[in-house]
Amino acid sequence: MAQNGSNLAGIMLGLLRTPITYDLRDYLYDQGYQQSYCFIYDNPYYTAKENPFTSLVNRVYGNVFAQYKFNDTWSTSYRLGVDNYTDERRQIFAVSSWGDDIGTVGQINENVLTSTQIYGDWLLNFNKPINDNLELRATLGHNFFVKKFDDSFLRGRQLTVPNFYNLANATDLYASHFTENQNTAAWFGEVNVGLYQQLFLTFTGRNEWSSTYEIDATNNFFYPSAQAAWVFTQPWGEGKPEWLDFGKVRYSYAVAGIPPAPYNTRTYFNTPTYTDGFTNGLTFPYGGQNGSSISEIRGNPDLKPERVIGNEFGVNLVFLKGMIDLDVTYYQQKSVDILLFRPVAGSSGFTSSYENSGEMMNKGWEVFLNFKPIRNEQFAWTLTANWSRNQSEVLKLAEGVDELDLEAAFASIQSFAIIGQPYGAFYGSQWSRNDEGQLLIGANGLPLVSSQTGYLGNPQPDWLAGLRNTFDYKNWQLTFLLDFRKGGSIWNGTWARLNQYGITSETDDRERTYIVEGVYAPNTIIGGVDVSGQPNVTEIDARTYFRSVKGDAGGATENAIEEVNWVRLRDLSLSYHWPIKSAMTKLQYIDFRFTGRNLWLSTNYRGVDPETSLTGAGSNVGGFDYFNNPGTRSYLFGVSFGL
Amino acid sequence: MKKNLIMRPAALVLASALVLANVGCDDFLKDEVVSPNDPESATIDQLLANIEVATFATFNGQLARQSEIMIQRIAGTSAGSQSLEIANYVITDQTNSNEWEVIFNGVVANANILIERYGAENPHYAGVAKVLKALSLGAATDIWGDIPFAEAGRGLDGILEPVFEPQQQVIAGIQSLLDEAIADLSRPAEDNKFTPGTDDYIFQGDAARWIKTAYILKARYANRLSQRDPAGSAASALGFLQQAGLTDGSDDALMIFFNAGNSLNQWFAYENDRGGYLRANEAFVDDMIANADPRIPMFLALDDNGGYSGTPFDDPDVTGTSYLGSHFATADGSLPLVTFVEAKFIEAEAALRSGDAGTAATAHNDAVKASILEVTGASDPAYEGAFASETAGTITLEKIMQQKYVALFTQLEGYSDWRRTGFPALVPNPNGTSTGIPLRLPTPQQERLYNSNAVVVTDLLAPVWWDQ
Repeated sequence: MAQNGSNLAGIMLGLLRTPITYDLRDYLYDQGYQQSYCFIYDNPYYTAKENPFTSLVNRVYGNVFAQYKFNDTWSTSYRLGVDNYTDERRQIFAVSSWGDDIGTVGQINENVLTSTQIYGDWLLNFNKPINDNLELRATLGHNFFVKKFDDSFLRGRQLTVPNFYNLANATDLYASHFTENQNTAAWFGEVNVGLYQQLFLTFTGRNEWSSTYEIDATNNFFYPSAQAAWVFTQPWGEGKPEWLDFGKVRYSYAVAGIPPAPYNTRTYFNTPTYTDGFTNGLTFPYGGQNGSSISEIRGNPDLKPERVIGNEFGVNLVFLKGMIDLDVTYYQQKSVDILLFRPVAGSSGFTSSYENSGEMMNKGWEVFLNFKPIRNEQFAWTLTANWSRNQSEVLKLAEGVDELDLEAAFASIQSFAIIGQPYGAFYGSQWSRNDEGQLLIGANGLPLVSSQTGYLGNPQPDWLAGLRNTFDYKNWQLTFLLDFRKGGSIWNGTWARLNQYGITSETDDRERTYIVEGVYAPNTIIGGVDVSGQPNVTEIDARTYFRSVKGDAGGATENAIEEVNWVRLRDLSLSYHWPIKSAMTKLQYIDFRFTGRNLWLSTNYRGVDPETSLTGAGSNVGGFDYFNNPGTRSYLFGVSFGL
Repeated sequence: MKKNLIMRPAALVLASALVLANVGCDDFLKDEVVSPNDPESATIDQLLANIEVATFATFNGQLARQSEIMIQRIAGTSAGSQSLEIANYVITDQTNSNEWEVIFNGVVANANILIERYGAENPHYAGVAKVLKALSLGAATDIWGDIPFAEAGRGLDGILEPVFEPQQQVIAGIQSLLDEAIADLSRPAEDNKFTPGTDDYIFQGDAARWIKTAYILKARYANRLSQRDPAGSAASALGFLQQAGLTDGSDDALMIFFNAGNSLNQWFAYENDRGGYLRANEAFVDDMIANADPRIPMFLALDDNGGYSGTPFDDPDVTGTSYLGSHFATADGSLPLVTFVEAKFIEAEAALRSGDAGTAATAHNDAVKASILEVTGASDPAYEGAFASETAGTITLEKIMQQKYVALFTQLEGYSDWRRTGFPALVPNPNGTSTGIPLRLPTPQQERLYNSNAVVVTDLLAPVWWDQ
């Protein structure tokens, strides 16, 4: 698996730093050592071929189910299920790769991940159509859920014999083990009432227990919900307008709960690693002695569940005998008692504290439209469109806190919760400005960077849309999906860095000097004269300009924030359905399908595909690009046989 | 199994009841409350080993690199954006969060736990922890000014927004903490349930050497007040040095490293991982060459031409110059933390300030000679003739500070000394984004945002209290 983003053994760091005159394909020296243009970054060919990552997944899942009907009204059932997988992962860094911990000494990482989930659901059902105008269903249930996760990690560093990958070949061995278990149980009930075949009411309640609360603390909480739907076309009967086939409005109110993550009710001791990110730092065993430190994370015995309180209103309309199907939803979701690792002042000895902290609102629209303008024996055209807009706003944070660091992502950019701003706002270094917003310039002609970091932008898009067209002609089908995004920012760290190297197209204009627009900072003296507040006239050469103003060798992070739009052809596929009408075989048909994914992209983004993530799928912050791998384009051809 | 259940509803009901009974049982929930991954306590030896390693990370990490660049013994080159940024004084309230955390979590919080949980029965351990806590909080106040002291590292007691104390009060606190440490370390061995051994990388539990170190630190922080209280600070510093009773460098406190993946000397590891980011500053190298300094081959590595040269602090593109030499940057090379050489320079400076130029000259000469001997293994009559033969008539503060500047290469003390005395005279980097050489670090972002008791300073040119 080639690695994404900021990674010494990744593809892009080495690739984009290499001048085009250097042939990377010649990546090996005779002895099998890598030949690379860059110090500390692997040759992309070398890392792709010599640093393999393998993952072997074995998965078993299934359940037993039993049902007993007492009579037409009452029944009970039980389901006991299990889902288990093991994932044996192996990452090799060849001797002379920079991807290992120490650098060019060779490393083997072996991870065995084991996940087991066991669940049991008991249901008691009541179902009685009392008369044509009243329908009643009810369920009482109990659920238990056991979640076990284990990670055994073995690491061998400093390989003696190159190209031989067995832990026995390592000079420095390390093993660790991580376990995370969580048990939950719940009683729940649901009542469904149908009235006059047009009004449908649903009420639910759930009382949930979790092992992630402290032993003597309250460990169970109740979550209700209610939903009402009215088919308003029903009472019209014959009087309904002909163009309207069906109409329904719905409203729901629901409270959902999220229990705390495991093992956060207490403060533990652990084996620290002291590193500033420039080296691998210091850790234990150190000189044969073990060491232990109080965790940087403060445990909290008084945890409550995070609650998400949702209000949703929707309309569904079908027109013109099914030609148009429109569904519109408006929602408001308020998260309260948000569970997060709230950063605290490091001088306390902790860097974060796991707490119920803050409130956030998410509200938005979702529109779904299905339009079938042409439908006949030979030809059909179907158009499916969806459009969504979500706006999040942080309403409240911990007492006395207005801005809060969500997740450490990268040195020069942070993701923040700021009251009044969307969740995950960008935060980083900014230029020094005067009260009029003009840049403050030093005597050397360079703008000054403020030593105080601040808000830089918001990665949430204004809206997203998808448009799928499907054409059916006889046995042929052509379908494609266009995908749109409007707005939202991305931190383009790649661009800032490539400006520094003079690789971006902007840096072509380099045979001249630049003057940064702004005014001289207070106390700026040039040639013995105090020029504070006067417009900047100091020229700087192109190299300094692109490195220290537009680039990240001194330039403020705010430079690299871009507002992004895109249109892309997400997929296109052509298929042929070949019916076989023969008594000779049981085969009914054969389908042939050709699909291309991610075929075309149009964007204002100055970089590779903006739809990338440096922090990865497990992260709840995003919008960072630092030498991320571009998205992949793929072509697939498939044949399926129908019996 | 499956077949059976379907056949017999009674069995199903029974199975359900069993599972439900199990769920009802508290153990299903309580068994998974406590983490199987980490313990809830640590032993005294683990804690001390950790405090020392965190100390090494503090004094041989980014703070040291930045301080060296500020006072132009080392130049940050354009080989690395991060080193170039520091060279250009691009320092924000986020730059040194990590170092702040290592001091307050790694050293201070753990020292507090060691002292409170184990100190009464193990005074030597407590004494060592107090010396190390004083050492790190001293470094923190020197570079950040006002910091938490009494409430520092007490999050476990519920103090999440520690009160910042004025630097004057912090330094007074450091002095009394060191007094406590000396008292603890002076207790007889039999008063201790356990005494430090291999977990004390620095002195293997030798209480007498820890006491000497504590006195040198007391002298360091007495002398730090030279601008605030010239006479009093000099008298105190000299008194503490008297009590230290030093004769030579054999009791130096050193940072200890090992030639293994995560125990490496960090000057060595930095060049390994970030080759070329840092180089000796040209003027620093040229001065040593001009003075025929015998420490050159140990202080500096050979440049690409087999000689010794530096990168000018204002021209970061010059490459192929000398990095730190074998005295500082070998895989398991130990590094000075609190030394006899420093003590002698403090004595020289304090004596001069109190009007005793004769003692000042002698101490200065002893300091230079001790440094030469310690670094090169021999004395160097020519160099000592020129630079370690001062008399009451010739000794000056500038000479003392210039020699200390060279001798304490790589140590944080240099940055404090330069800010305090103005020697050696330095000009700011003309490419810098600040109009002068920064005189401090800004208050870390996390304190600004999450500590309503923080005293926030963002102006890099605002001097700390002892520098006014």
